[in-house]
Amino acid sequence: MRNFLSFILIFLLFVACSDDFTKSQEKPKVVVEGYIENDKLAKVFLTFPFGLNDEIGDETYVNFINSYAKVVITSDSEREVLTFRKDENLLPPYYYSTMLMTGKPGKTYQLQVIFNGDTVTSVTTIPPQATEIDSMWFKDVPNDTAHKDLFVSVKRLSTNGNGNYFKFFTRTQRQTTFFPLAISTYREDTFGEEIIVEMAAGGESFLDTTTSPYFAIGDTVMVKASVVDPVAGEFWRLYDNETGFNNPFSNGSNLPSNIKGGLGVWTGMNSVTKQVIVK
Amino acid sequence: MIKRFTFILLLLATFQATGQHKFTATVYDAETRRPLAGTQVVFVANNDVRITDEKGKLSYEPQILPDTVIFSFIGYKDTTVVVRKTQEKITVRLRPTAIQTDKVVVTSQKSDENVKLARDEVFLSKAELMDLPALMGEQDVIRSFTTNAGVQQFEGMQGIYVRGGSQDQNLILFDEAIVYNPSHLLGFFSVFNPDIIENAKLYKSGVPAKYGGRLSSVLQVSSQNPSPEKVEFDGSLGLISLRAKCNVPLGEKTAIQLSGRKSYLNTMILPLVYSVVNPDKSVPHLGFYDANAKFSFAMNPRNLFSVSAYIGNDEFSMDQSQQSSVKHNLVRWGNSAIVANWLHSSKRNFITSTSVSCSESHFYLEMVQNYFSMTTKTGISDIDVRTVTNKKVGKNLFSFGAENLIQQFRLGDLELKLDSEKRVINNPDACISNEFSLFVEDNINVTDKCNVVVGLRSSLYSKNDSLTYINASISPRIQARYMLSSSSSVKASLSHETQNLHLVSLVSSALPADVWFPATGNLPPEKGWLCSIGFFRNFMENAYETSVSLFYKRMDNLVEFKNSLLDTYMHNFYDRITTGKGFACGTELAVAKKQGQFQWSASYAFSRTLRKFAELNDNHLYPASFDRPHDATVTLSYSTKSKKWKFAAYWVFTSGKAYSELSEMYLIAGNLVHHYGAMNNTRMPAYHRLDLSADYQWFIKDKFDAHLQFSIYNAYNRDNPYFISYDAAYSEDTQSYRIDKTITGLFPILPSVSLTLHLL
Repeated sequence: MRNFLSFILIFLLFVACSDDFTKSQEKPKVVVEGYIENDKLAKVFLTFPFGLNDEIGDETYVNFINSYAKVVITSDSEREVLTFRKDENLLPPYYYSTMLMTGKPGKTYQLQVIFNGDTVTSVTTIPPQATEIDSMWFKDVPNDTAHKDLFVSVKRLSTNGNGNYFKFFTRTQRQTTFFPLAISTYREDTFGEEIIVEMAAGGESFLDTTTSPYFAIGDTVMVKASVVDPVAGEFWRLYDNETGFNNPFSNGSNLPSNIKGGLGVWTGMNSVTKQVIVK
Repeated sequence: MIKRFTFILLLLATFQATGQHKFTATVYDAETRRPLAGTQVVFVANNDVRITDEKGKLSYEPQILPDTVIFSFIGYKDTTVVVRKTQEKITVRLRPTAIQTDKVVVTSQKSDENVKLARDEVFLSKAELMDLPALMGEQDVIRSFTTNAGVQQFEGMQGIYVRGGSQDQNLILFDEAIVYNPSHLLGFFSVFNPDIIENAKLYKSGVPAKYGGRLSSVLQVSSQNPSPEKVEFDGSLGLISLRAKCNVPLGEKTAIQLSGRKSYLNTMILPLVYSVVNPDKSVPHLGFYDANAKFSFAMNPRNLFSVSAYIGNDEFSMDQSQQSSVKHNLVRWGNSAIVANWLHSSKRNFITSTSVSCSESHFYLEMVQNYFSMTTKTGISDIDVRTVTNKKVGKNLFSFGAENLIQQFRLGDLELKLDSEKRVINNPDACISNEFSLFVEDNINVTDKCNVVVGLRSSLYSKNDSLTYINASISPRIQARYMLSSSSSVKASLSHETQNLHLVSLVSSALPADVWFPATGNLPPEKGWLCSIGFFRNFMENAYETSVSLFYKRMDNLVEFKNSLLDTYMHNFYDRITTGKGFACGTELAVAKKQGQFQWSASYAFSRTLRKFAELNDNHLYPASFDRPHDATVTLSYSTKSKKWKFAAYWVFTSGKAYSELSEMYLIAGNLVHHYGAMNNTRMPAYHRLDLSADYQWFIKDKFDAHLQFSIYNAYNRDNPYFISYDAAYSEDTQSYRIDKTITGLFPILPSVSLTLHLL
């Protein structure tokens, strides 16, 4: 009996462990949102993550912008240190940009962010082939005569997908930049014979709760269709799930970043644009 | 030689069966005074076994007198009588194994089955069930089992959790039909109407070989057989629900029993309570109904037939537009089942029970958020045929048989809508699996002190659709009990189980959103080893029961959703599932006083349930969402001497649910992205709740047994967390946004009063 009780006590000590077996979390230091697009200057936004008790307002958001980093992009023999710039129409309004280097289809670009003694790196490729926007048309919106629903058909790049992702953006004459759709990223192999996408506009940011997914009659809409490499494409697809739906079924998983030592994504895009007037 | 001997015996029996001796017995439940149809009656000297008919009666012409006759019925203590005279008529009252001695004076000593039974099983008789606090006017089978250490049920979750197993790892049977979803009102009530329950049994380990296909436990609930004796009626009317039951004789050998329940929580009590205690919160809509029917027919003393049917549906919705980004959600779910049973006693004393059942469970989800909405509909149905034969030979009780289970899985399509435009993610068409099993078991009384049960179950599983998958498995099991003294014993068990179906629970969701899947080549069957050891000791002539148990469980091929269910470009649900391992271990302590006016019980379990998935949490161990290390319950009951008043209290405490805490957020493309800490690295606040009840009994002109029941659920109005959501909120004062964490509870304090009438 005594042995039995001793066994129980030992067992209790054995099982009375805390949750220390779970992995330790390193607090991310830098959030990277970078783009390099065919024939366009590279653009890199650097921010800090914020906690649940942090406030984000007009006066405080600058606290979350990383303006003290050295950002370098390298591709083959090309190398450029990016310049810190400002554009009030963007969120966040500060970013790093190349002055000379533009994206070339088929090329690979290394990103290096040096901040506070740490170096964050990433690699992306601009896919060699762009798609084509075949046609654009509108459908009526039920119970709404002032707006139209825009659909776009784009060209397939391969019959089996080959890992291609498409990312779509729209911009009206009232906007100064392209904004991604509410669900903007599509894997090519999930389509059938035709690639037809509804251009349901997303909000300009999480602060924007007024943007309709439809376009007002008379608007001029510019559509951008970009081909994205598989690594960045998977990030953006899961990003759509996370933010587009504010997914109530998320099980607490994090987005798969291609930034070593940080969060976010470095995206190479091969893009085409086409304009249409809403009728 | 044996055949010839049997033939001679039969000839002899035929020759002698000329009506010299006529023995008639009627068997009743000592507590409810209802006849017990299907009672096994063993004539020892004659080496013959018979069963009682619908009226609990048996007429027999014994060939040898005097003879010793043993009456046995599952859940009741065996009673032995010696028949000496011809033309003898006797009445036998079988006592439920856990019945209180102050109710029916049969013996001065309480049952000691908890010490003597080889299996680690929990038996609940009708009498025990009726002694529990009647919350909202009724006792609940599942809640009663949660008073046992190692058995947990969580508010807002559908099933039960036994010794670190998930809810799908419990085989739940109602009259041998499989019940996939055992709860109403998110676990508030079980689907088992207490009016019609005869008894219930929970095997926490050492599951009999006739049951299989689940890694954790078996909960077997049996309904009363209808009585052909007289018309009976029970009715109950309360603030939250009403229920009724009637028993109608259809002839001398047949009877039918009908019962039903309907809730109306949202009509009065919930809006009233919310307006007082939670005026700022939306009132969730909850409702259910269910109905049962049972028909029985006693063809002759060797054959008893019954048909039992159940249907029940639930609806739950929450509109949280004031509190959360989830604007509206709606869930509907339900079960239905029909089962036919045939109990047969052969002339060679083989008792065979054969059942054919059809079960169905369905689930519908609708969620609306901003421009988006989502709907999905899933389900599972089955046809199960099981035959079990028992035969006692000397010190051995053999049990053997076969089972064939055909299951159809409806994974359903996931329909996503952006305003009026619709997108459908197609899951595979309904797929069908088949599992054929053979089983054998021997319960051996090795010595007076030692009892061993050895069993083996082998299964051949196949699934046919686009890809054929076949799996053969063998599940051995052994349990042993050794009596250290007349009031103490040690029990141990070791078993291996194979489970050919999976359930994926969307654990971070506020909704009971579960999807059943069959095992496939990519999602192989779940397998698990379970071992347990326990020390059981009774004191003061079994008035006090104590026990200490340890268990360890290892499980392979468990499943979880990767990332999230709602993935815009998954082909089907299978894309999102990943497999891994699970481990559970724990210690259970229990003490109970089960005699006298004042009775009480207390149990405590410390356990851990861990998971390890290569594709989740960077392949590090993490706690399962239902890992709740501390689990304690206390029950108290007091009856006045006159028995008119009965008071009861039930208190439960468990550690909070584990979840992945949002550690920080970051900005990408103008939107906020969540960044979580390690998987399930944080716990919600602990869950605890006190329920109180008072029951006043009186008789109305000797025609009705009336009960006026008062109860309070969550007596101190603890705002137990149900789920956590995060939303960006704008403050006019600081002109800035902040991420707010909102904790939403489910049930506040719920007082209730109900009147129950039983026609005498």
